[in-house]
Amino acid sequence: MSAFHLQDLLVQAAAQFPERTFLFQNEIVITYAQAARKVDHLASGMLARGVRAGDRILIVMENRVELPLLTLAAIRIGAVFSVLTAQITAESFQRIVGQCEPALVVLEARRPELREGLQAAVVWLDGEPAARDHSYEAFEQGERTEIPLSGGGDALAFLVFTSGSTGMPRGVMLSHANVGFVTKAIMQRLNYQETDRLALLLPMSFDYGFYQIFYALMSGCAVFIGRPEMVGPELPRILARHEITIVPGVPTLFAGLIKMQSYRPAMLPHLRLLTNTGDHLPLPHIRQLQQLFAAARIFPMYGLTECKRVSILLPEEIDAHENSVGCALDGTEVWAESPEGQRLPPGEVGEFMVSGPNVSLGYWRAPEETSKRYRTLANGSRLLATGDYGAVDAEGFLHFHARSDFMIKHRGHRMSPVEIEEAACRSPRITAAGCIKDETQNTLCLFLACHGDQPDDAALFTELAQHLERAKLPDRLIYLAELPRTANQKVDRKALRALLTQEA
Amino acid sequence: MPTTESRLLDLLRPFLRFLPSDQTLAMDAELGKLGLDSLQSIDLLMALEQAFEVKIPDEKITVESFATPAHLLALVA
Repeated sequence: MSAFHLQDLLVQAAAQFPERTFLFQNEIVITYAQAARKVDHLASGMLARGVRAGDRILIVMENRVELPLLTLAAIRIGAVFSVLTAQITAESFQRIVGQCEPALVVLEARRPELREGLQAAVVWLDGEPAARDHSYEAFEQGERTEIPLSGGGDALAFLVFTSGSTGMPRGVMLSHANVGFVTKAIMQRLNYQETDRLALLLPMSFDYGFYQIFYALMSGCAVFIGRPEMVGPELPRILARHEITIVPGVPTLFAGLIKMQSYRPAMLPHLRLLTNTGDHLPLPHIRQLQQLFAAARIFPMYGLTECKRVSILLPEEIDAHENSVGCALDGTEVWAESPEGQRLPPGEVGEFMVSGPNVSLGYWRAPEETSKRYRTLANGSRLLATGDYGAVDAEGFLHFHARSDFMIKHRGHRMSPVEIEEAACRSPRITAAGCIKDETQNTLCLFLACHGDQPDDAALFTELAQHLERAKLPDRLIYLAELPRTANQKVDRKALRALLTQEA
Repeated sequence: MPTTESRLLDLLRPFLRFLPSDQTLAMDAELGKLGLDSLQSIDLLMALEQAFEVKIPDEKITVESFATPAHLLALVA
């Protein structure tokens, strides 16, 4: 038997559900059979432009139907793709280009500035491409050629960029086998059906957003390609109009859904599955969702990009295991470890360690960072030190306590406070910055010290926006005469947190 | 008696964290660029309906309705 290849998912879906809708957005509807054909054309186009197995392809765009097709084409030729946020700053993009040395970059016409300095072949969506570049249409309508299958198994399939602790982007390397394993293990618990209609409101640059494409291929469900901006007043009616049955989300998405549905309810009898990841879904929100959507089953989950999914709590387990994030995926093992490296008995808090086929290959071109978090056991299986602290109870349920490092989870994004602080300090008048999240208010707070007059808030936001993506912009700016410091002169984030507590 | 337009602009200002306090808010300003996000739009909708004592019909509640002050004025006027 040959090794599992992600392309197998598309081939099987096209054979099993040819006429079923795979992707839809506005007036566009693409069936599984149509998608398989388009992917062959796109893959031929990539090959014709010299993209080979193992080459990198960077894709920067909003959620749209072309995005999954391009990634499936990359998979088809064994290339390694990465989907980057459409809000990416030119600065972050350049860093990732430097790390990846892509052979092909796909851009939208509204971000022409990203073209500057690129050595790679460029494909544009919308608008007329300049001389050396290509249009997406030419790719999709081009000739279809013989495509040798390569990659699969433990070969690298794609990269997911996340913020590293220093604020530099870090690419998590996922193999075909990683993604195939996780997709099957997750579907075992969530069990999407071919009659389901899923609303993809999370950006596909976010891994849980992107994985929905694989879950669809496996189940034959229809995916409504939505946008994060829809998570507002219009959301309940969008879900009603498209008769959505599944909403994968993050806590802020569900907070918005609860708020709007409580204020102005829409009829949503079709809604049957709500899955949460990215951050902890508070129990009161679970209870509110249960009340508002009596027919919907809610799955709180826990994971991190480095191993995608760690655990899933089943809806019927919520009452008996309040605040748990569920049991480890089948075929994987999770335990808490002491600082001395000892496996802790049930109920004791330590760092979560994950072992199994879900553990990814490490960080792209960063062996040192990889060796800090990944280990290989004597029996050959890979192990991930998650950096998250919690306990596993006697029945195997995980209870999450805290992150061991100071990384921030906000609006479903993982970010480093260092990156935000450094961006602030690039403003000439800012002398010091300290960033923390106010968990009770769910706001990102940036404490600042400056010389001379305080800069206007809006002016500072404009400066920050040159270095930071939208999700990383603070919600509150708080000026202090001086920032509290630790004994070794670092900004004391604990003291900043205490200031917020006093305020409350 | 303040006009509907000026009442609307006053009501909007606290939602726009990127708008300098000394800058006037134009009717065609892009609210998204000034800091209004989709989640805050829910609070804004509630505030609008209360302040102007209207019930905005469902079909008018779209992402585009929250694009500029002019779009919002059309909802409440």
